[in-house]
Amino acid sequence: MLALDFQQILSQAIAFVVLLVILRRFAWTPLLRMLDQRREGIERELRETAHQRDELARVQDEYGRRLAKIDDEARTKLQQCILEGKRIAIEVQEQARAQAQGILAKAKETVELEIAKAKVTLRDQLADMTVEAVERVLQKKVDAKTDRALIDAALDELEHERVRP
Amino acid sequence: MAVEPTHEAARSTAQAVAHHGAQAVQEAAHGGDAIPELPNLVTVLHHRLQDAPWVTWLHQWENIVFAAFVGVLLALLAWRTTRHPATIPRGWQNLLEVFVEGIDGMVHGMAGRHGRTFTPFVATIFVYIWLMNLSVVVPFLKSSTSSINTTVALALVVFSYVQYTGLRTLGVRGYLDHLAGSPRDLVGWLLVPLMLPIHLLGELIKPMSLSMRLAFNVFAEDVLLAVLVGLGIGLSLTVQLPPWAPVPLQLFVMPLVLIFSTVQALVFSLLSTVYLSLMLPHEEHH
Repeated sequence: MLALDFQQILSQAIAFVVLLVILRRFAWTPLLRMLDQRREGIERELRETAHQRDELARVQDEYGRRLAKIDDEARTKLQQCILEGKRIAIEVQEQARAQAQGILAKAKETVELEIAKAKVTLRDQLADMTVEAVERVLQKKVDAKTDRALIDAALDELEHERVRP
Repeated sequence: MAVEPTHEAARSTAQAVAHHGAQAVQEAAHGGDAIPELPNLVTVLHHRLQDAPWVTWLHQWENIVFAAFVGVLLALLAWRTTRHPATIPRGWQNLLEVFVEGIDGMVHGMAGRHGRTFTPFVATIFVYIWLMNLSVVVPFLKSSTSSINTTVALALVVFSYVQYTGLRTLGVRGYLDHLAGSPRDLVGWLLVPLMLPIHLLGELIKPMSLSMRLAFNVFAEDVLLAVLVGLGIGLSLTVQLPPWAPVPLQLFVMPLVLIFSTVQALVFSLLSTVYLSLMLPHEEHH
């Protein structure tokens, strides 16, 4: 066991060097290269992820600011719309009131005209009834035109007396 | 009833193995010169075919044969694993990547930015010694590292690589300066006659300590296993069990053998890395 055999030592050394060359060529170098590539890839992806996260935060802030601005603008326009609506409502109310007053005045005129017409008609009917009544009392037919004139005169007289206090 | 030839051959081989182990243990117990040794494929062949010249040659070179077997196994595994490397590793590639990454981290931690240069060397040293150490637990294989010739060869390769690294990184002048103890003042120059032999002696002792530590530890493990196997055979003969069914006493120390084999491979690799890192420029030391 302790006997040194230089042939065996040399053979073992050569065998190890050959194995080292083979493993270096087929195992360690490809595996180390792959590990380095994977490490670099992971680092690059982590950097990209961090960059995208920062970009996302920036875009979120930007959207937040824009949303706040849009909210303010919407609120301002809503207030303007409310004020405009109130103004239009007041105008409509005033127009309606004016139209109602016109209609009322016209109705009053019509009523007064109808009253005047009714009065004329009533006076005519009353005159006719009076003439007929007088004819029956007097049993005598007088001239119609003359009678009518007399009666109108009498009615005017009566009307004046009634109006006078 | 005729016995099938294969069964007959197997029984004959088992008996030869048992006989060989028991004989070795018995000789050792009676103060003989034979050191207990587990039978392996070559010794079994030699026992059965003593006159065949090729068997004699194999028996003479059995350490080389088993070392070459481990080397071929490693080369095939490396070729098969890295033939179609996948981005997402699986199976053997995953295992090898974990191993390489661990060795690379260790070497990088000890040797700094030059560590990557040494990783293939240290990884090969570790895995080669580790598998050779573990060969003893596989039936009919042998630990080539139990032979001083194997470990001396490995230590000489480490020594050569360390000196080459020193000359390459430091230059001839820097290398001689390193051997002289890096004198920078008068006291340093006065101490050169003392430091130079000490450093030279240290460099020469390193491969000796590496080879002897590994060879004797693995040899002790092998002897322990062989003794326990022999005791198991003796026990089975005592209780009249068939010789091919011995009591497996060696199973109790198998876990220890696995641990020690790994530790010895790691110690050899670590010390090789330390020797390499000591040859780097001083600002590279950690």
